[in-house]
Amino acid sequence: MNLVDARESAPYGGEPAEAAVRVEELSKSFGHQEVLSGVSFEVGWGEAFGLVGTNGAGKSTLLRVLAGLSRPDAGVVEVAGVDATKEPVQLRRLVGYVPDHFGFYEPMTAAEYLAFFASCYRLPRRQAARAVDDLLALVGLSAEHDEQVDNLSRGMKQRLCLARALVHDPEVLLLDEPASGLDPKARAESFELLSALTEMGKTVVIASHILPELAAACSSFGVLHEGSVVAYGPGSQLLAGYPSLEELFLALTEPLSGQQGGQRDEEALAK
Amino acid sequence: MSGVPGAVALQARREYLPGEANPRRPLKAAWSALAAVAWNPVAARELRARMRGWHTAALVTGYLCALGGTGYLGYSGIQASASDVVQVGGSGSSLFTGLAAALMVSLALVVPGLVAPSVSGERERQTLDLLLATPLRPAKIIFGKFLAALAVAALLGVASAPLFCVAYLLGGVGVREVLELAAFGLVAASALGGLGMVASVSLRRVPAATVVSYLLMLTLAAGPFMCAYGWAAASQPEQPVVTGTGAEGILEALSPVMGVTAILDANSSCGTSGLVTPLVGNLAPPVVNTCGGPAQYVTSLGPLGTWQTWAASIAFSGVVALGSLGASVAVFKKRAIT
Repeated sequence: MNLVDARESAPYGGEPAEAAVRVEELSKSFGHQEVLSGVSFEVGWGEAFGLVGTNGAGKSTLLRVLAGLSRPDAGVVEVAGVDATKEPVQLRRLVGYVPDHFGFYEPMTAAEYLAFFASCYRLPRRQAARAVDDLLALVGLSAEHDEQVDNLSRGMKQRLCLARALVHDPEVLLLDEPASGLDPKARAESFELLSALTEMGKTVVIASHILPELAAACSSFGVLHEGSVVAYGPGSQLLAGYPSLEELFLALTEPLSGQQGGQRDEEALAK
Repeated sequence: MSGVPGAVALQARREYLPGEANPRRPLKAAWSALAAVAWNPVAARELRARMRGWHTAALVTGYLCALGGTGYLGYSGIQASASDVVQVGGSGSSLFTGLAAALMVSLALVVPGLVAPSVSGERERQTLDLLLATPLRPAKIIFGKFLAALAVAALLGVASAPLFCVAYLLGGVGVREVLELAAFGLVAASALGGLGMVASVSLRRVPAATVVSYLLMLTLAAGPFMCAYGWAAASQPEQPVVTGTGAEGILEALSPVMGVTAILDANSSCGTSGLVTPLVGNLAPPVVNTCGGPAQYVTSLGPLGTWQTWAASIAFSGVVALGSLGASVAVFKKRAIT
């Protein structure tokens, strides 16, 4: 069987999945603190899905659950038809995850770093070497092939981490704040790269606070507020009546004081 | 997309799923699948990182200098104090005992320090999530890190082989003692490594994991003696405390110190070597066939019969190693995926 294309056939048997990501009534608590409550949404194949929300809304936790790094307390989480709780190992073969904060193994070059993760996915050595070259070219780091990871700039490290997430050619990419801490040029390059990945057919879920770039890069959005998805859908529908994604985000997540605020919230939710 | 270099190459990449048989080359696919199961990428990366830095080279150099210095001073002392040729002839045995004791102390000091940062270091570096996001199973990650640490400990043992050869050439040391010591060193290092791994998976910070690893090492080395002494004192309140038999004997054999004492004393020509026996004093198990032949420490394990103490100690250390590694995997699974 060639490289997994879960849109045409289910990668590990069974019926092909209708949605790349399906989350239904997902709840997750840490101790007494409920972080996610009854979260439900779907992301279609090849979509770029922007996840927005205030700090502490539960975006990172949601992405960790989708990546199989956190167990949900209740609900259904499926990626490419694979149940995240029942088949975590298969799930990890289908998902590429870039966390908000990440580190690097220091005495390694960029190529060795990617080769190490390729070996974690059991890619044969020759294919891994080719994949490393391709990925470094994809993220514009071919010149840094033999550069020590520690010597790379933050933007380069961010791109290297994205290349790492692509090393096994996943169907779904989960990116948590992929452009945080980058200068405007590096940020624009980062989102351009994400658009390119979507054009290549990858399904991308991006959690970000950089709303203008997110609005340009994504075709659908979800707004997470206090652990619940308060709105989600295609950008064309969701943004109707709002000048920007930022306005929608503020309307749904930042209640104004008094009656005016209440009315504005209700209007936004009704839309 | 055309502006993104390498995109076309990546898109054109068509590979067989990892671990999936290539129908055109079944033998090669089977070999690749077998190699993929046996190969541990975590161990390979750890070893590469350890060997690249200056730390391992400095560790081996310092260790060999200390061991060589100990051996040289010991041998010089024996030669200076020997009154006849017979005593000088027995210097090989004494040198072996000294080197072996130094090797064991080195392992006890080095192994917990090597293992403690294994998982806690990944947490501190924020690389653990990246590792957990791969299909590697927790047991493979833990075993890889354990193997890498143990390989450095094994390197110390191998690097000191020429010094042990000097003792062997001087005479008074049998191949059996050397093999017993090698087996014991490996199993004892595994037990220390396993305990260190428990600390590493349980604690988030490297310093805390390191301190707890050394405390666990001390507990494993001295704890059994203290328990045996307490047990004997409680059961014989009106008499001088004598342990080494019954439950106390079993407790003592739990300590690797007892195991190495048994091996080294068996190597001495008359009862005890005199170097390590003060460590255990009258807490030692029964010594069979003392003067006139090598000492043989024995430990009665009830229904399992009577074992030579070094063998019982190896068995206990093996159980500690396996048990602590199993516990490490269980804790890692529980704490890593929350």
